[in-house]
Amino acid sequence: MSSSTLRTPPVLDANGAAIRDAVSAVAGQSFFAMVEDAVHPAAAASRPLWLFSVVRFDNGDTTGSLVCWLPPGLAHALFDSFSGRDPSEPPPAAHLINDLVGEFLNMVCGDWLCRSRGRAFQLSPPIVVRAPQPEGAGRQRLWVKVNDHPIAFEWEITSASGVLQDGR
Amino acid sequence: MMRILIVDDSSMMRAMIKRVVKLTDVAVDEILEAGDGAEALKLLESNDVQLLLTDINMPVMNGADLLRRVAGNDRWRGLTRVIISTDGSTERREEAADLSVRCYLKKPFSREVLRDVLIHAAHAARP
Repeated sequence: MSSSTLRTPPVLDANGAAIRDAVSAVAGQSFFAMVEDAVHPAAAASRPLWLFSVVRFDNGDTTGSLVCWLPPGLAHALFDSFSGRDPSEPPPAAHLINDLVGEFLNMVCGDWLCRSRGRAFQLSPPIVVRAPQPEGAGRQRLWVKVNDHPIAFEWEITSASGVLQDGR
Repeated sequence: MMRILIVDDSSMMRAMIKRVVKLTDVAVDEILEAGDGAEALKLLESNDVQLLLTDINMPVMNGADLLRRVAGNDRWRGLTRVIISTDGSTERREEAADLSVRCYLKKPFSREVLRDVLIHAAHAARP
């Protein structure tokens, strides 16, 4: 048994729990993928490049952002689930993988905002780049496993009337 | 037979919707695509479209503004409108009802739900 399986996932605050529920809904309904609670992976000597995406939101009295890091292998698997691509077909172009990763985060963010409050919101077009795999836990960082691959989310509320900030 | 316009800034989402349309038995002449509301308006002006499937959050012109422009023009009175969006808020749904939107599908959704919505909307849009 590895050391990571001995650790217990941290207790989530209301935003973390709502984001985890949003990831489960998006992964399950649109990507046929399973989501499990997870702890952050053990620190490694080298940090591989993952796909990092960010989306900003604004619902009038609350603004903020949600970011996601996911490994390229999972991004390709999600692409195949979403698009119905047969593995024997040529691999998708990088811009299509980025589009898929951005849409994944877009759906998670939208679902989280819908769970948190009922106001209409604006989402910025997602930005997707390559960035080193994140390390460690954080107060506003969520680790989950999607089809057994670790992925991380981090959220920030830059102004709020209180509803999203305290997670109620 | 009908012409469908899919409006979404994600090319992946457009491709997925297009594929589900093709899996239905709905007879379709042509499926047009636009990446934002402004592109969609241009296509609507130059094509006879019966069914409009639009996202809300898009750059340049969002889906709500597109639907306001459509609702404000008698030429598109018979156009069947469907929203497919991450924004499933009560406020947005009420706004959609005021803009004569026939169906509101919140992302994420399963392919089966999308197929059912498309079949329902396509029957309403049949020329």
